[in-house]
Amino acid sequence: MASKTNGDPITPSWNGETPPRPAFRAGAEELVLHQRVVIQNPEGLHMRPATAVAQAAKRFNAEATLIRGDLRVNARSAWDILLLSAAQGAEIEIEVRGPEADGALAALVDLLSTPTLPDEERALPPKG
Amino acid sequence: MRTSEFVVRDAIIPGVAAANKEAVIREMVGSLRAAGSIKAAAEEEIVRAVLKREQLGSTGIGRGVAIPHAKHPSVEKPIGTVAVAKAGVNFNSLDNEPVHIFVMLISPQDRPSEHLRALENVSRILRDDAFCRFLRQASTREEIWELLTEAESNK
Repeated sequence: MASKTNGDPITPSWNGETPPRPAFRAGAEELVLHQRVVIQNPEGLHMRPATAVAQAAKRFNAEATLIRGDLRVNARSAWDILLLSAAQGAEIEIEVRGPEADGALAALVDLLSTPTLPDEERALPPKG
Repeated sequence: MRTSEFVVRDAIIPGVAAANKEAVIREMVGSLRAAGSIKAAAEEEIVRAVLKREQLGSTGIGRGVAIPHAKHPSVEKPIGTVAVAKAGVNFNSLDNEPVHIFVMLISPQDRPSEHLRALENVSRILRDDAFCRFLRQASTREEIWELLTEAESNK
């Protein structure tokens, strides 16, 4: 994990390989993490991934926000996530804070940067 | 894409007769067929596509709303309808609450952006609890249409 760089520009993480932006202490107990991802799903952030993200976010003791441009939405709400209207290639910033921010961030990065959810393989173009 | 751009006015169902998930979906697709928006030959296949999508996870998104949807090559642009069930229908929703408002969306297979914008618009207008209350109280197709267009003009 990278060292403390509070105030540094957010590190791009297009392919999910770049480690998350280092944490900083916003309060005595509050951990805040940011990471940008690019939506890889060819169908975009449609209802299934939106629901999967919301359900994942609810599993952690953390406040999670998805940001696209000026729009900030609650990652624990599928309703809110649909407002992002994020097609493939859209850039989303994830902001998480709370005792389990690191786990929440990892889960959300994984879901948002994956090309497909299980059962969606047929949405991909044929290989070769 | 605004909801009034894909909702087929003549296919709106103010009082759903069906009492379970599959029957509601069949009633809504049937209403789109009766309105001339989908071909009779495609009706059963669209019903199956919507049901298959439901098997992957309920589109009952909570707060009494479901957005059953599917993609199908027989439609050239996103089309859909709205149905209201006064009594509520078990839709295996995310919050386990019965569903009173259904927004069906059938999209072409190659236009993911339009599908996303339609979902965005549905989410934008149906997140308003007062609007959902009015929708549930509406008793005619015209009332539902007026509510939809009025809600959009206020956004």
